[in-house]
Amino acid sequence: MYGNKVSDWLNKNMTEKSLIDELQEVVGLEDVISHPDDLLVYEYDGSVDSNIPLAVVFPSSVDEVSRILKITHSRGIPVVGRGSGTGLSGGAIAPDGGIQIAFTKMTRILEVNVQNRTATVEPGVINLDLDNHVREMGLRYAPDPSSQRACSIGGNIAENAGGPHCLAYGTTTNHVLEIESVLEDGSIVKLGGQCRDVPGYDLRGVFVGSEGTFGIATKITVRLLPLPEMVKTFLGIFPDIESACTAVSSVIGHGIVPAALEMIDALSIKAVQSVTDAGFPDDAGAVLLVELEGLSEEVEEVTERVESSLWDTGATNVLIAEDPEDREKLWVGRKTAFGAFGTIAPNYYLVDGVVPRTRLTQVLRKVSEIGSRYDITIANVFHAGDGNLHPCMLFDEREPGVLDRAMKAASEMMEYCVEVGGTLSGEHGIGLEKKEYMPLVFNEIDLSQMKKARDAFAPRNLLNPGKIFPDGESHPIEPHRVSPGQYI
Amino acid sequence: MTANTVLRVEEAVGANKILDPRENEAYQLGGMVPDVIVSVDDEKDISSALLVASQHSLCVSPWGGGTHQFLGNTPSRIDIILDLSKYNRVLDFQPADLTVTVEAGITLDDLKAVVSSSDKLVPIESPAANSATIGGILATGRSGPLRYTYGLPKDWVIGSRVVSATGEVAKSGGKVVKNVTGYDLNKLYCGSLGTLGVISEVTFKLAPHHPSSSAIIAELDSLDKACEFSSLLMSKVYAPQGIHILNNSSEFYTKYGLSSSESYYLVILFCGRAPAVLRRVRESTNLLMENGVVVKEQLSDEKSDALIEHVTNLGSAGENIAEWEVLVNIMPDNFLQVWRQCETLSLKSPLEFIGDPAFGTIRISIQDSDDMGNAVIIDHISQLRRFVDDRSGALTIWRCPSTVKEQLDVWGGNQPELRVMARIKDQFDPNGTLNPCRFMGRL
Repeated sequence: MYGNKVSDWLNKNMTEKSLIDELQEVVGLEDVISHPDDLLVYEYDGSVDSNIPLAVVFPSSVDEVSRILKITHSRGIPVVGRGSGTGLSGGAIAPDGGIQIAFTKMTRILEVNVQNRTATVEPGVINLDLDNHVREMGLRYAPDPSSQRACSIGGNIAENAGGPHCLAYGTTTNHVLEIESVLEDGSIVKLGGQCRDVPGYDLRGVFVGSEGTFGIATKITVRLLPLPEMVKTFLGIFPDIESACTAVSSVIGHGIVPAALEMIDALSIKAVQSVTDAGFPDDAGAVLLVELEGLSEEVEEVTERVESSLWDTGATNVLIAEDPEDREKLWVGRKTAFGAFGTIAPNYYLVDGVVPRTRLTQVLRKVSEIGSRYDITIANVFHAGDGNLHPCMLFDEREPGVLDRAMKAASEMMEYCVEVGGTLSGEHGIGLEKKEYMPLVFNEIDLSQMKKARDAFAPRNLLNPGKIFPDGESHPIEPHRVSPGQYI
Repeated sequence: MTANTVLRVEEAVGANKILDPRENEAYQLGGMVPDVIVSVDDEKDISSALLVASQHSLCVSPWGGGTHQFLGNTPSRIDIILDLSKYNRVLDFQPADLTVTVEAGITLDDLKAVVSSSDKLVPIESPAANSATIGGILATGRSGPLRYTYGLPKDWVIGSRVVSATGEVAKSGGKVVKNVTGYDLNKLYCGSLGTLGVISEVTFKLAPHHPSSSAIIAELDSLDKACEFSSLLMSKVYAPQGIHILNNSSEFYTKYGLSSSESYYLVILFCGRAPAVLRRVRESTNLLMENGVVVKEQLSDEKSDALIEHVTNLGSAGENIAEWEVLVNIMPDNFLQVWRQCETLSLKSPLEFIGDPAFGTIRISIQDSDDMGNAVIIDHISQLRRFVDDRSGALTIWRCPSTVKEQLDVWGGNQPELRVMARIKDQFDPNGTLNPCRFMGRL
């Protein structure tokens, strides 16, 4: 289904040419691209899938987005919004015969209201740009996906993006107040409101994480949080991953929900240390990053408990960073891990399963066993605090049969996550990548209720069709090449 | 019709699940007495009753503790009430995973008791917590005095099983604290007042129990000053977890020995780890006293928790339930202006106010109205609603005499998204089986 070729495009008829003309009438000649060479850039996102869109349009306003959707609606052409294309489940890949609306021209921070602690932004604003902007006012935007240097707020809304600090502060859905959205027929609606509580069905709440199938967000008001007085980061060094998992349970068991609680396994440590000195010992079996935030008194009180949790569960050393430079150095190790995997193998395939946190040890043992059985190298860097695993299978696609083995291993891992009470995706979304696995979690009735919500927003299913719901058609999976600076 | 309805429902759920008809009167809604009450103790009861209702064009309303049945428009018709108050088991409590799964009929107090036994917390407050059920609290979306810090009840829901209008059971979310597998339909069901489905089971994520809590009651001589100090405190690094402005609240004044003068009282709430609570209280108190504000009370732990409960229940539960309860949602920077406008309501009885300036809500309780008074109140509230609407806020009438509901829309709201809401209702309940006409836009 996904994989039409440039030659298909060349065979397009006059109808499509007039579509391009109509789109150009809305946004101007320069802001529609439709030549196959230009479109290649928009074939991919951060996932394993690809598909060439019919055209990519670059609107500058909600009015233009509305007019674009009126055109596509009248022609029955599918549409997908595209932020920065960093998504990991194929959410921004163009549907067959569809166009992309890219938000690279809608990147303004429209307003920051310090008293209300809100910011109103266009969808193309980069997550970290917003955070940096409001930090100057003593505030911050809490959701911090590892791709925050590149990913957009619009994309974050579509995927309900997470990040290390979502352990304490919740995912994107907890930080969005109001969404201006254009529906598939070009109508403009406001979902939610500027107030923290508004009566009526929570259209905002169900829109966040709908992976672009409900509407195209054109303006978003988010909540901001005050900066904490004190931040302290701990690096627990462990001889093996089991003891590090025990430490996770011990910290939470002490009634502490840290701001972040991240795990990096031995293979990942070696990869990281080969590209940067993050201060991780080469011979460590696993390291645990624990970050505490809050009033100095509460951070200090909890410090002792966190330290004792780490030591008591077998840490061989515990390092503590308090000043921003030292903390950043520890985080660099976490954030560069996936890019560093390129030193081990040229290709990877990543799983995003999530399990009850007390099952981590059991599940990681199973992941290791599956990896051995399929002869696939697996590195683990993940959000341990909320049980969100990221087993990363590393291989060289030139090795015959390896891709097939990796896919089977991934499938078994997802099945096992579900078997122990978990689910398919903690933060990357379903998209194209995992849609055929949805029946592991949801039966036909569950899925039909979800489709009812979609049909209320998009009765003709013209927005990002072919995502989330299984259609029984397998799609070709291509291994992803590890690029420098890759972040997950 | 009545006999047929009873027979059909009896056949579907079993005669032993049907309450004695003499009890039906107690379940009336807007003056309508339902034909049959099903006492649910199994998910199949909900499912079977809804199936038979959808097959025979009967209308159904779910009922938890019955503490908030006054909310919403008068339904156009009610044949069957599903009483879920006996459907109240804890199904799965995992303290180490910080999750709990319960049947929807469990009361908030019972749920809190279960999780607190393992030092965990469901950070939700509701009036009449000893009888308000989890399903009802989620369906109404009612929140409490710590909403600024902990958000709304729906923010703690990570999974649910909901019975559809045709009796099918659908799952949403799961039992893990982070999950983007499929749409978050939980958000849609919460706050929908039982018009999209009947919430059957709920999984919550939990917070660690507060080791310490504290509260301050301070007296200010003007609304401006009360708002000024609220903003000042909330801007500090040692900000409290909740702050409220109370005015004319006789029950509160009596309970805490305060004068019923023209004063405005700040109720400042703190919770968390003991050293942090101590510092927040100390620095907040110092700030107030340095500025000449009179601190009337400082309460700790049980007394502080009792204050939270008292504020939660004011005008909504207990002996002094207001005839009218109006909720205004507003942005914090419009709070003062809107409260001032509320005060211009010129009624024969004093209005009681509780405002949450940091979150952005004002709750107004009105007592002692009569038929003549109702007309005046309707007129004033309509004016106030326009003022609030113009400032991107919302005014909802939570409670009022049932006769009034014919004369004004308790929800308000003429937003463009009502069209989408109508399509949601049409998708989830095309035959209008569930609480018909009760929701916003008479959905």
